[in-house]
Amino acid sequence: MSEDQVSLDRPSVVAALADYILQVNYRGYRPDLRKVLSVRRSDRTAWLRNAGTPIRWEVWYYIEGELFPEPGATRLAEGQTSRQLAEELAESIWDRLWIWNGFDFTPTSSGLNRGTYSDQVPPGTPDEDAIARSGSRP
Amino acid sequence: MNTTRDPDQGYAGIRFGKRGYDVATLESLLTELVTTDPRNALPEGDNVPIWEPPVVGVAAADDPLFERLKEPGVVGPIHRDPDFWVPGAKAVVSFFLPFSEEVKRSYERGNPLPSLEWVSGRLNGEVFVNVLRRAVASYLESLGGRAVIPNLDRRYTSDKWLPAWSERHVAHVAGVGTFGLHAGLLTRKGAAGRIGSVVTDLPIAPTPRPYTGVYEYCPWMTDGSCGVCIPRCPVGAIHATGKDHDICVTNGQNNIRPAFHEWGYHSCGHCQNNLPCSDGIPPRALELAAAP
Repeated sequence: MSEDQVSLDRPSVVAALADYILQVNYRGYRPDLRKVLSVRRSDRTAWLRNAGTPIRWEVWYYIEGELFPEPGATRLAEGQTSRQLAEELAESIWDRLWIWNGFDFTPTSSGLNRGTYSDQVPPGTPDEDAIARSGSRP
Repeated sequence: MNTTRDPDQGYAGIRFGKRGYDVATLESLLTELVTTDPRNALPEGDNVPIWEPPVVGVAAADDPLFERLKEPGVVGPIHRDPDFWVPGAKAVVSFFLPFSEEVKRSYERGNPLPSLEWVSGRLNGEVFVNVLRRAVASYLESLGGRAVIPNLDRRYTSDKWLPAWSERHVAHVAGVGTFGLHAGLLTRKGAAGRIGSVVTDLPIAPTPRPYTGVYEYCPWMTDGSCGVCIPRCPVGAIHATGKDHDICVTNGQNNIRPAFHEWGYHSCGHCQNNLPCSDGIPPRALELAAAP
């Protein structure tokens, strides 16, 4: 897969959410406000970590409150597996999260309407930041 | 496993204690995020903060100025109304985030290149602007409204440098600031910063525009004084009547991007730093505004 075809990796998102759900439903339901879903730019895979200062080429999202604003969203129902709930939750936010992540890795993007997105700037592409500041005026 | 409930931990939006959608409450929400969210930090060096608390304004969705943005020479026909993003839109929340003192101080006056802190802050800072855009939208949704972020919407597009939603122009409509000779937005917290906005159908009261002129905060465009940004540009892109964006873009391509190739950054910021308008409205503009 070429770089410009890379987009958010869904299996790793589901796996990270499942791992989180497993942990916070151990001995009762205790949501962990520190935990974030982190995504790295190189292959758009996600993993679980604690909130902290960002590192280069990584973006992250709080699981409680940011990804899932509704309190209790990560609570397991009776007989439900962490994997099942993770898949349901991923499905519920997927389109939005995909767009968030796409724009986060293309902060000078002209939009996602051009199909796949890429943070790799093709040779000859104008500096869009400079253009944006110097372009049209009222 | 963590069992603590330290209020300083976690997403600031879920511990935000206020309710309501007046501009002061929205400013409080954004300020809490800017001052407590760990993502407001450069990933390099000492991880200094990228942003300081914002200037926030609200425009009525039916403000006649939105229609003007579609005129050629302003933004153009590509620009969309608030109602395009949210049918039945009532208001647009706009915020300007000023770069931190640490980032601005890093910008050397005599260097033709920007600092690493600047180019990193420009790229990584935009990720945090997205955090704030999403937080405002999520908060407004929690109050029962619909909220769309045009710049993070699947329908967002641009035709070269003409966008379907111009953050600078929307900020001007919302009373956040005026334009300058260098084409940037001048606010009471300066010109060195970035902008975000959210469209909603909640009836948020608009903030009055504390100016009447499009260039009111720019002394050069008002009475021909200042003009410091003209010689400040290292490649002469700014002249007496405006900015030559082709020259600016060429500088970015040929000089800035190669200089920071290993870091993966770009973006010049000379026309936002070390100027009378970098940290606030220039004194001369305030004098002119106060004159009878």
